[in-house]
Amino acid sequence: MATASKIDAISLPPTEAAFDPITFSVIRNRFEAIGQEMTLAMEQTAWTSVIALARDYSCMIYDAHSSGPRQVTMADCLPIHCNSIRTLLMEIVSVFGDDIHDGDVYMSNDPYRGNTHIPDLVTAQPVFVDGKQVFWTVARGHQLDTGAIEASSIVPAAKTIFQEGIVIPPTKLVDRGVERHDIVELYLANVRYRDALHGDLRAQLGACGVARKGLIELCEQYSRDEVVRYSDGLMDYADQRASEEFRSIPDGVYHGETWTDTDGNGATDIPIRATITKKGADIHVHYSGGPPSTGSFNATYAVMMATSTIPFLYYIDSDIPHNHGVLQHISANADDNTICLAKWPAAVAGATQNPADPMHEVINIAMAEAIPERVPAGGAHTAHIPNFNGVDSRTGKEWGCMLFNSGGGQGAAKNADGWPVLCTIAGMGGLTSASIEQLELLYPIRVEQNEIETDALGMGQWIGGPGLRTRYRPIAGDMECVGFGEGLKNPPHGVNGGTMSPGGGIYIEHADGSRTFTSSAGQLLIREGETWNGVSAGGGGWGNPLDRDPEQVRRDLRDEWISEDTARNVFGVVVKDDLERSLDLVATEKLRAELRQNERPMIEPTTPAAGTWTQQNMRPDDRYLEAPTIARNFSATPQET
Amino acid sequence: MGHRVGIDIGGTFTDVVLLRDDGRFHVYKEDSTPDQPLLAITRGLSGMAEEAETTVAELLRETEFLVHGQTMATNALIQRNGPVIGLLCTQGLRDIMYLGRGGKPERFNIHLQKPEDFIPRYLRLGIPERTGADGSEVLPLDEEAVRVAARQLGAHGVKAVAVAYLWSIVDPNHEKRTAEIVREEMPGVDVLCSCDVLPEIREWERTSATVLSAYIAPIIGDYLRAFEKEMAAGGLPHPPQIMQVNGGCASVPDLLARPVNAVASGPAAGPAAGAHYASDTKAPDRLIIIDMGGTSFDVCMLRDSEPVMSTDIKVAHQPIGVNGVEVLSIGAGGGSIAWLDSGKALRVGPQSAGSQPGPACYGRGGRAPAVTDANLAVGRMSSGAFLGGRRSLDEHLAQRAIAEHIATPLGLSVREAAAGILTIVNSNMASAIRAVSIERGIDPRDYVMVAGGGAGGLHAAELARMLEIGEVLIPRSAGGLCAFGMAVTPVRHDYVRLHHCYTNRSGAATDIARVFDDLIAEGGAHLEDEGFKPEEIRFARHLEGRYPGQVHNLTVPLPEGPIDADLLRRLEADFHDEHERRFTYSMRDQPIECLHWRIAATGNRPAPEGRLATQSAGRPQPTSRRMAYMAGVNAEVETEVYQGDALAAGDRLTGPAIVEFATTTVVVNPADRLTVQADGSSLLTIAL
Repeated sequence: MATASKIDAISLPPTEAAFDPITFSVIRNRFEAIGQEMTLAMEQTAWTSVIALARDYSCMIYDAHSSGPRQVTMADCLPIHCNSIRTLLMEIVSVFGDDIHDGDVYMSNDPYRGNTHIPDLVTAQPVFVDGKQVFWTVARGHQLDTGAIEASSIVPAAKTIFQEGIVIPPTKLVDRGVERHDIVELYLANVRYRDALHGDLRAQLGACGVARKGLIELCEQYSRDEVVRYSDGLMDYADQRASEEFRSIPDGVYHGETWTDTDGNGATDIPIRATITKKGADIHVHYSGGPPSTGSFNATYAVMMATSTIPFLYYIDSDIPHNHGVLQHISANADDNTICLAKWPAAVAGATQNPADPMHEVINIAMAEAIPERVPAGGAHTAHIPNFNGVDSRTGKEWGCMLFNSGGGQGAAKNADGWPVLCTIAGMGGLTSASIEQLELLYPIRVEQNEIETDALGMGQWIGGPGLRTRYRPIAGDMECVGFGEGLKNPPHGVNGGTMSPGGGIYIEHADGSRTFTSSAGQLLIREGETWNGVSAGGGGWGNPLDRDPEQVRRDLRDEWISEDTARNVFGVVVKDDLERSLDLVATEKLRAELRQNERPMIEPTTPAAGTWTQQNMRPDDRYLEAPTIARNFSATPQET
Repeated sequence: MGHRVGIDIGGTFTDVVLLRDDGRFHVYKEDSTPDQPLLAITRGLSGMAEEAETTVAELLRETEFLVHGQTMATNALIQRNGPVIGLLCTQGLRDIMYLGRGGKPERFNIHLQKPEDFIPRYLRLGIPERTGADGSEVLPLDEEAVRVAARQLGAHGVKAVAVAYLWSIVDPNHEKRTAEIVREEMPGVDVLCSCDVLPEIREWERTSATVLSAYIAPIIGDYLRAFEKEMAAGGLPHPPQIMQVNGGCASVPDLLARPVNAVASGPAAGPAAGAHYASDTKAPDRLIIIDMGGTSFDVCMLRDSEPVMSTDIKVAHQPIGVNGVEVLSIGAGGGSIAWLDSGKALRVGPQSAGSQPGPACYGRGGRAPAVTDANLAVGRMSSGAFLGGRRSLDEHLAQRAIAEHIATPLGLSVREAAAGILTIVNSNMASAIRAVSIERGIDPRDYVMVAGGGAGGLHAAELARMLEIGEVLIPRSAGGLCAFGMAVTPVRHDYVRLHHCYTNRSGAATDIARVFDDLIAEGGAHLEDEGFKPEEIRFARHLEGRYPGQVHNLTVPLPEGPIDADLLRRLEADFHDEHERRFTYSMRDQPIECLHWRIAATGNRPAPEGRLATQSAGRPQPTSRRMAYMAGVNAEVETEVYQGDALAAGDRLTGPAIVEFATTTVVVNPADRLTVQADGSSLLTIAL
């Protein structure tokens, strides 16, 4: 009796065979649990801080459907990796065809064959049960180094893909259970930090193995064909739930425009536009924009697919599984030969940040008119993720690290102030920062400051996550900084009457106290005795600041998130000069009534280069460098092997 | 040997457990009195003394160990109703607590609010001072700045001050001096230093442990001192002990030196209870301890006789930092609600009907079907047997709720839907057990399950079958599992030292041996001061390390024996094995980069073995028969029902059977066997 009975009341499409609702829920949970096991295994065994601490990786399960691999589950991942694996898996399938065997593992990082960008190395393991492939377990991790022309996985000024490191087309890494040492050596011979990258590769393979084991056990329990059938059913289930939500968005054609600070190679304030056609349950995003970058800030096909998808996943109930059933509703294309879709052999290593972040943001700008309650304000981009490297003068050893601690804030949304250290909207909070002590133990740097900067955020009924002031000092030899971000000059936008973020800035403070400001993209030398200083962009504000709870504004002021001027002029809140800065409610009410005469725009800014922080904070004798390329002048000692 | 007493204050009940020197034991439940917790304890002890036919004074006089577990520390953190406190930290880094490690849960939920800080920013003050990673003084402590800051905190009415500087673990002098100055400026205010509370690398966790300590110190300090006084006045010959999150107990002064150890300490008594109860099972050193109550399901592990620990425990979204018993808690209990999502998929929990209004069958206005309703609807519980007959359950209300919300929309019968609810909640609980076992490279098939909590006995056998666990032990008084654990837990002090080295460097063994000599001398002296004889003291040694270049650490026990090069080779081999077990691979050509060295110093005396007064007199007789759903065979079968109180040690039953105890019901699936242990516990042997 009971659970054995078959019924078809779960509202799945009538063409599908019946599902037992209980088994359905159990298998759904198991897929999610396997995805989480995989994610945990990778985080805990990775060697580099990019993966183990910053968690710049994603783990996924795909099926082996005849139409091409389809996403089954994606646990706790980086959104920019969403909806961007399928194109690469299809490439692997088309290259290897029926030469795919049990025990194989494939690898690729080729951005012109369906990958996001070179640093994202993908390993994919087919899962065979009873002689037939039914799934793929896939891990994608950002590699600390790719063997590019400079010691960074992203070189903003790279002119073509040939300067961005080793390109790995779909390649068999493990052949029926036997690792191909020649391939591993070919890879490791082309990168810096070979031991660490070998460790990360092992972690990636371990994660794929953990999931493979779990999937095989699941198939043993329920039979292979049943698991596949329920996996299909899960996609239909997600399809049905997502369709209902997408239909609730008013049909129409929506336009948005924004700008990226730089192409990494001298061009600035490049426009990025989106036209979104929403009809029924389907969404099509068409991108257009400025010419391709002559540096590495160009989107790839996979990045374009990801950025067009991410916002629509947070417009709907986050409980809906992010499988192919949802993803299939969103399609995208772009005008050819623009920054939004580059042509080989353009450099593309920056793609997942720039132009990915503005390409993501522009959808929220376009959709504000249609669904003002569901769109967030703009969030911080990658301007404050420095890549430091150098040679430790105490040991002679080469070192390198990518730091997320100084990242900016999340954009505000309805009912929620933005979170801090968002780092980039591409990660949506998936990236995490390192322990300062851990950093200082491993690398010759000192973190002298990492704190909220007053007024460095967008104001609104809900305020953006704060911008941070951070100071790093090299303590054993000079260090090089490679920056590849943007979003300072063109800061996170405000929405529904919220203000834009003021943006932020980066400067080197020299030993004599003089300062050199710089765009965040570029390459700089920081000598011992000098410091790297950054103020990151806070998130944009959501809703009219005059609607923010005055008591909350009082606390924001007391806690130095905002200045007294801002409290008064932007929020219309007047406080007394006592210890607790208590509210003057009468004066507040009067001031707010006056300020309400000024209407607030739906979106701010609507013009390029609107950021204010740098111009307000530069002194007359400070220098400014756009996209500098000051390479380090110290020679690297060969790595121990 | 004297008596042992465990006192566990919960949200609803205060449990008092008495394990007498002759092995008899009693559980007494008294209504908790949250405003005056001591009142419930006094009443509970009186009630207990009456039941044991003695007086409180006599009871206490003959008590060797009295251990108290409280929830007020955890509750203060969750409800955020603690005092105003301040933080002094390294200048430039005053937002460590707020920034945490960055990141945001629920990536795609942009409307999620960040929890409030435990210390508002205006009370987090940066002090000019800096120590380097190598212990060098980069910037001297600005003592005048400390004084100014202390006065500023004082003006805002701060009740406790946390001091947490960067790298205080390699040189604590700046923190120590700061604390002296603060005490001069703010007499009577609690001052806690991070180098005392959690001397480990990682400033966020250390700062958090110190801040949480400062937050709860004023609350539990007054209370525990009053409790200690009350017990002494009542005639207790030794100072009472307080339950800690590390699975052991400590004296009031020891606990107040690191108050964060009092957080989340109740469930941490699980392993001690399990270890005591399961001594006659096939694997007394390898246990999975589950506790399924009304709203949550807790699971923890005992591995090689040691509780499985974690340094990543969070309470109220904040890391507590200290090493504690790893208890995974999920929203699965008798009150967990079954619901259909917008795609009509059946889900159970994490929302709970709680005790008000409770499951539909309570008849207190709850309309949503809960797990208890499902158990009732398929005959696994009887309407009259709940809480020893003190409350009756309404089967019709249960059926109506299941029909309305689940069965009708899905086109199932009520019984099918009820069975489905049980399957899903079992699947959720099995996933939680997998997460702490299989995902950590532990094979649950080698383990024995100990099942406590009011709902534990209903589900344990079926969970065991799903995980292929052969034996399940359900204590006689499953409802008081943690209070019992407190009564038999050892005194435990954890010590840790940061000593960064590599196992393949020459001289490593000598340095490590010196670290352990220091730690063991410190721990041993402390326990001897507390009255333990050397033979009652044990030290468990652990290394927290990683492959060179890795970021996350793995903790492994040190092999037995003196620390020399040979031991380090064995330690490396153990590390490789553990890494492979957990993460599928190892790198055997690599040394281990060592970070923290830990010891757990425990003082313990043998506890009396519990026993039942009556012995088996042949085959026990069922009191009734009814149809009940058995997940093991996925069918309803005719089932014999027994009264638990009538069973005697040595009695045996074969399923299908249901045994109704006062605080739990044990379901015995077909072909499974139940044997009543000497102490009255039920041992189930699962027919795998």
